[in-house]
Amino acid sequence: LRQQGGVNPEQSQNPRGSNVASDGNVIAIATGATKTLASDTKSTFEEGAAFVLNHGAGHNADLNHAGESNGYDGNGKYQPGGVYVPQSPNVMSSGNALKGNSLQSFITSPTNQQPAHDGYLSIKQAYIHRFGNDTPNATLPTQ
Amino acid sequence: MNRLFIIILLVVFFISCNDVAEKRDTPQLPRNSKTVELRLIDSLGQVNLSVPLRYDTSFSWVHYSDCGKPCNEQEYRFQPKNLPLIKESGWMWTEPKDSVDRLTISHSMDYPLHDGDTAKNIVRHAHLKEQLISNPQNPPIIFDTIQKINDRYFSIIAMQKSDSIRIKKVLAVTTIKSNEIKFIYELLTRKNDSISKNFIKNSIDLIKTIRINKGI
Repeated sequence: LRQQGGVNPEQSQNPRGSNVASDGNVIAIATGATKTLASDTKSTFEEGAAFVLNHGAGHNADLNHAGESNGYDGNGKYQPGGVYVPQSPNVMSSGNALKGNSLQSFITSPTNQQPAHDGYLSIKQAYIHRFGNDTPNATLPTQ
Repeated sequence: MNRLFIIILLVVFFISCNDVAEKRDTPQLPRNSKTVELRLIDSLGQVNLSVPLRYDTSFSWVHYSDCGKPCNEQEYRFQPKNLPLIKESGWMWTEPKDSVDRLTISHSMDYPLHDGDTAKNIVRHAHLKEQLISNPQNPPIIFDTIQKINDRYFSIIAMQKSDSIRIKKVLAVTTIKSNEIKFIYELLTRKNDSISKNFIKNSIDLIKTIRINKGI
């Protein structure tokens, strides 16, 4: 019996179902696996790392992988009729969907920006719900 | 005498009606198949179904991914033991290109329980189709339907591609307390034998034997 594959460039917390208030705050990047991802997606290490960091942030925002049933919409409300993460390509695409494709098509995909429609939640709204909508400030804190 | 004859006639009629009802409730077992019983984890339910006789081994495992419980999948597999036994894991993994003949049953490790899973779900069906189409590694869809099987609605989608490798897949999805449970029959082979020729039809017949009960 073989464990097949097992490449995880990123490990993050999806707070769904957790009773621990601090869950949903951690994203860990594995450098070796990110090199594999970069090589499989014809991208640089930095692009691969940036992608999986954004992907992990989506999990922190309670999102499942692209195309999967999510249960909760972009505002964190349970939808009894079902609600789905938009189909790949987008930031929540699972690893095997990325293989052999350019990362750019996942990063620049319009489905990352779309409002909720036809049973699909809004990825952008889920990020805003989780992280807010402040103007980005790239200045690092200094001591 | 006439009254006695009418009574006998009525008794025979009711016995025959009863017999018809029993036959309807007991679907005929597809050829070269056997019935198996699978207990899903955490009392999620018990699945009874028929699988091909050649599936002489079974195992289960957790497919770990990248975001903890909501991303992890509990998987249960039936297949012939002479083919490679593989347990997929990780966010990225290597898909086999040949020598696959199996049934995999899977559900998320995170399953909040909600009522309302019994309706025919046309939205879910459309999304499943779109999800399959969005993955270029899947063969084209040749058939899809929503069917009521033993009081539960299933989305059934069949895919196939014939090249040097024949790829055939039949996916059936239903819900337990609003949580999706997937049944997928897969065949990847170079052979053009009776197993390959009848795989889609036989898989659909076997899917029709699925019963889920004793669940939470």
